[in-house]
Amino acid sequence: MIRAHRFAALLVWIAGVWLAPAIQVGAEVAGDDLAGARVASINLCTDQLLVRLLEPERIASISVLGADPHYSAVAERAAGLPVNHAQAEEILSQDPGLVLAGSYGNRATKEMLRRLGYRVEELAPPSDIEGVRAQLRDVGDLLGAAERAEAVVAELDDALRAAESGAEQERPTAVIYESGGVTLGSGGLPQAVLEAAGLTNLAAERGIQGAAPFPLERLVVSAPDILVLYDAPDEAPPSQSASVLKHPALHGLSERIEIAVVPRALWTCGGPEVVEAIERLVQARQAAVERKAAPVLEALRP
Amino acid sequence: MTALLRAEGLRVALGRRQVLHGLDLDLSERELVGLIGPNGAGKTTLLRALAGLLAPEAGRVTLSGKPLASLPPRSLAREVGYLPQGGGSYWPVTAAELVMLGRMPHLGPWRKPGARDEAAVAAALAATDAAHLAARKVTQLSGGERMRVLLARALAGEPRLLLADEPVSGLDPYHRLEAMEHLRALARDGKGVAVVLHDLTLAARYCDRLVLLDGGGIVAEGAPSDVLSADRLASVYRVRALHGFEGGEPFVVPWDPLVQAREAR
Amino acid sequence: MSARTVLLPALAVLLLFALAGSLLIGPAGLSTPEALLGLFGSERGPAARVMREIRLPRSLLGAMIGASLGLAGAALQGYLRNPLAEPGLIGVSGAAALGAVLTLYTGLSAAFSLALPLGGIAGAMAAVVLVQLLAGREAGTITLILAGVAVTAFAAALTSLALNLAPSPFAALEIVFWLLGSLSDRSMEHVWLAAPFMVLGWLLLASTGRALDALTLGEEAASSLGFRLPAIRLRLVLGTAFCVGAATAVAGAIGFVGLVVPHLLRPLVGHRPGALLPASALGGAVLLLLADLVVRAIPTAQELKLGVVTALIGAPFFFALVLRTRRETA
Repeated sequence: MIRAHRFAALLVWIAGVWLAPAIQVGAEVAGDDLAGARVASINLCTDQLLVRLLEPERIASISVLGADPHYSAVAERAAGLPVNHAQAEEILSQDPGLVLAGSYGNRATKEMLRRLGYRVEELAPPSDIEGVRAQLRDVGDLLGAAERAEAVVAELDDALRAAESGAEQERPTAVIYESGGVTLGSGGLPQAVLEAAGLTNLAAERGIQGAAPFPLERLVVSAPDILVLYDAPDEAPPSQSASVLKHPALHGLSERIEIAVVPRALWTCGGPEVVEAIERLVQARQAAVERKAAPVLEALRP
Repeated sequence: MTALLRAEGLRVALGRRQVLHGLDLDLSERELVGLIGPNGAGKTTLLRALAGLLAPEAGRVTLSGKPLASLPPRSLAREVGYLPQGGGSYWPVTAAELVMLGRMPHLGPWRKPGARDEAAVAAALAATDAAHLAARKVTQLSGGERMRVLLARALAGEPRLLLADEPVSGLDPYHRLEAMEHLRALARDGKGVAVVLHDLTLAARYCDRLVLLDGGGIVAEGAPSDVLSADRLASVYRVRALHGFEGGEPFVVPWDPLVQAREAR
Repeated sequence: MSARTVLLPALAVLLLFALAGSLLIGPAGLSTPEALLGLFGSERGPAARVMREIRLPRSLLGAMIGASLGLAGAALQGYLRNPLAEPGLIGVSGAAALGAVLTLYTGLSAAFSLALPLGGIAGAMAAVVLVQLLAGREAGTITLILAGVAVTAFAAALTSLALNLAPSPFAALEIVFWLLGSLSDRSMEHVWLAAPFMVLGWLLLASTGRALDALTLGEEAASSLGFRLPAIRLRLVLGTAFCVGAATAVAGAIGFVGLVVPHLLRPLVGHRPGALLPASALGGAVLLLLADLVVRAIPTAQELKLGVVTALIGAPFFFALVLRTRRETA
């Protein structure tokens, strides 16, 4: 009995010493008054939202990835903004009223900032168009930039309407082809964007969910109208996903396939940049439809 | 003379293999006992069981009447020194440091060696004529030098009984004789020494008593000249040996393998 | 003899310098007086928060984790009498990483802040049980190595499976980055979580020092000197699991420190495994703090991961070791 009692006391001690600080962290939340407060972002996706929705004066800093044209869709607009490396110490010296972060990664930094009393909002990447719209509006409200958010939503709706015209007659098939022969099936934003652009995702049709390998021979057999790549075939650095085009198995096929290049930055995060992804895919769709209508041996478009 | 270490009805198995089939043996102070027998007779197993390194399946080993299993390992280590076969050092430490390891049974936990331990190490090195090697790296010593240092290591713990497993194998004739002289000197000084030997000539010349093992049991035990009879050498070792005397001491030199005997077995 | 007597004080001084550097260098750009005032002063301004909440836990964890890795590496090399042994060998690092990754995979890590390190520690404890069961009750070194390799391989396979089945590329990336090891923005919570385990582990490992010395003579001779090797092995495995498991749980997998540090310091203590333990603990702390300084000093888009830096520092030492061994055996 005495032993059991001691053991219980030990458990209480463990809980008290180790878990109590963890419980307190949640209790420390800053007030909701963010009007005019400066905002920092430590994640590429939240960088892209922030830069589009907030005037530069109110941006305390964005992550270095957000300012890097290789990864970011807003690098040009972000020129001149302070950058951070997702370190709590940097954020502390910028002392923003709000920190935007992705729901994945930088776990220790997010926890540390909360401990230090900062308000940290974690944004999960949306997985459908409705989610994109909702997140834009939510973040707009949060930042006190509802008008700009509505403007971006309107842009998105315009692009969606434009995509719908003509989409009901013919829906060309498309396959997203990532480096290492990986495709994206149903259940994510890329699928939603393909659908919105009036395309049929072949991988999703074949029952593929999420990221999954898509062997070259399946690509040859399924013969999609459009191959969606992340980088242009002749862009440096040499891209794995584009090198598939050089494969002899695709020789005959490549003349019938329309290539659409949609950089990762445009549709990984589900921010305002999705508009451009939709526009590029719609363009590819129209080209594919034209090509089918005029079955001549046309040179492979770059 | 009362026995210091006593084995009674000792049965030992290694895995599923029965190695020792119930043997009795006494070891006392002031004598050099040779454990001999052909390969696979169970000599090393016997020595390990006597050192408390193997738990017997049946029977028991007692030290001054107390079963080894009931003794704390450290107090057993203070009484019985053990020199394994082909011992050496895994790290290039100095000879003095290696010999100091023999003092471990005497050191309290977390305590550093004191003057008493230093003196014991110096005495052990002196007893094996290895004092001049103290600062040398063990890994750089010759076979004979290393043997003397390892023997000093076993002596540094000041055990009453020393168990040595083939200490002279791998040594040249000079160092074999020298090592046996050291062991005999230890016995004259009062220690009990039991040594596994393959060299029958050395066993016959230096040991006070021989224990001949074969097939996991004791075949003969007693004075060397009695144990190493021509009959036994033929039946156990399957050799014919030359017997003789030199300066009053008996010698045995294995001479011919006995082909008929092998076939008869 | 003199080199040996000054080694520990010299390493202690180096550790103090490394700690000072780790505390004084950082992106907030505090001057030394500001930093010292922040650390020791009574005011509660931004400098105090940077120093006490961000840099202090990072520096403390760096020293504690480095010491754990150095100590465990030295103890394992001594026990196995093999200079190639490292703390990950007996499976605790891999299992701790798996435990932590599972909290990331299941989303438990987001539920409360210590879920991830607690998962790591649970993984390390599971490894101890598994290794002890597999290796059996005897003290054999080969079975211990085999059991460790088996547990490591199994944990690695399950970690890969978690990556494979990760709900999204973002989740997979988070797991990969966590596995690379980092001290970034760890808090005093992490220090308090890890400290009891580490101290217990250090005591267990330190208590094996004399037995490790005796093992210089081989297992039989060590047994005959009064050491119960199965008990020594249990202390070694438990001690490694406590301190290295806790280290992996709070900072991810950090390799090479436990391999390289004992190796570098061994000649300086006259190759005695017991004497190597304290030296290797101090040396490990110094090396990890320096590696973490490198991480902070080199600004890259993605923060350089600590495990990557220690491997980059450690691997060349390994090349040198191979060359030296070749010369010695030639």
